[in-house]
Amino acid sequence: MTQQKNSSPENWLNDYGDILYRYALIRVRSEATAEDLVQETLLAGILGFNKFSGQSTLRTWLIGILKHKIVDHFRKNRHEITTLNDDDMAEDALAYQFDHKGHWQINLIEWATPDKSIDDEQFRQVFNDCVSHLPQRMADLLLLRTIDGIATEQCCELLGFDSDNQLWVTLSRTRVKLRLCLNTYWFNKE
Amino acid sequence: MRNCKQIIELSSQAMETRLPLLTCLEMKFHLLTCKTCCRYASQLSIMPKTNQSND
Repeated sequence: MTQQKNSSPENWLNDYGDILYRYALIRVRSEATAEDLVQETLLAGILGFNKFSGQSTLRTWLIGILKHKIVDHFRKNRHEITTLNDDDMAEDALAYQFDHKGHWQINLIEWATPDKSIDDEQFRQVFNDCVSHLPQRMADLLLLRTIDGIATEQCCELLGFDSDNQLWVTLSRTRVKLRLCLNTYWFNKE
Repeated sequence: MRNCKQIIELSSQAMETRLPLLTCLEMKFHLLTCKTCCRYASQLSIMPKTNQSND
């Protein structure tokens, strides 16, 4: 991956198209929408290139623009968000791991060298797969809040949570499901 | 006293916001005495964290 600061706009699609596309795809889960967002991002980048200070890498700067495009996309499509199924499915994952008194019903195996594996490309792939198998609103929340760092208040607005507390409960359930998936497909593999 | 299911919810919430002191102490005490929750909490810590400076 090239990351020259002085890459000229006609090379951007070549140099950054893939990374922007993958970034968008895992968040909006539609190839067509992801392509649109990448095009809009590159266009906005070209139009606003005089505002690029060079303090961050061009890649970071373009991803920053893409983040805004993704937030706009969520804002426009808010009405499509389904919530009921998500919450039901999350309850299932919890019910399976805890008894009716809220005590663990499963044993957690120890994860080997967790700190190092986070940088691993293969781990990243498994992680992305696990995220894409989460119920949609959970995946949206996880990515917007914990990876993109969108403020809690704005996440509530974009994803239709009534309160911070409701968001935290869902985020916790999301982490339960994600942990289970990572455990099965990464840490528990032979 | 909170059960394990409630404690793991708190340990997730603690990654988002500052917990009230007593709640935080209860969680920490639980984690000291409950091996499974302690392991869960340590596994949470390798999952992506919120950058709190964004809030």
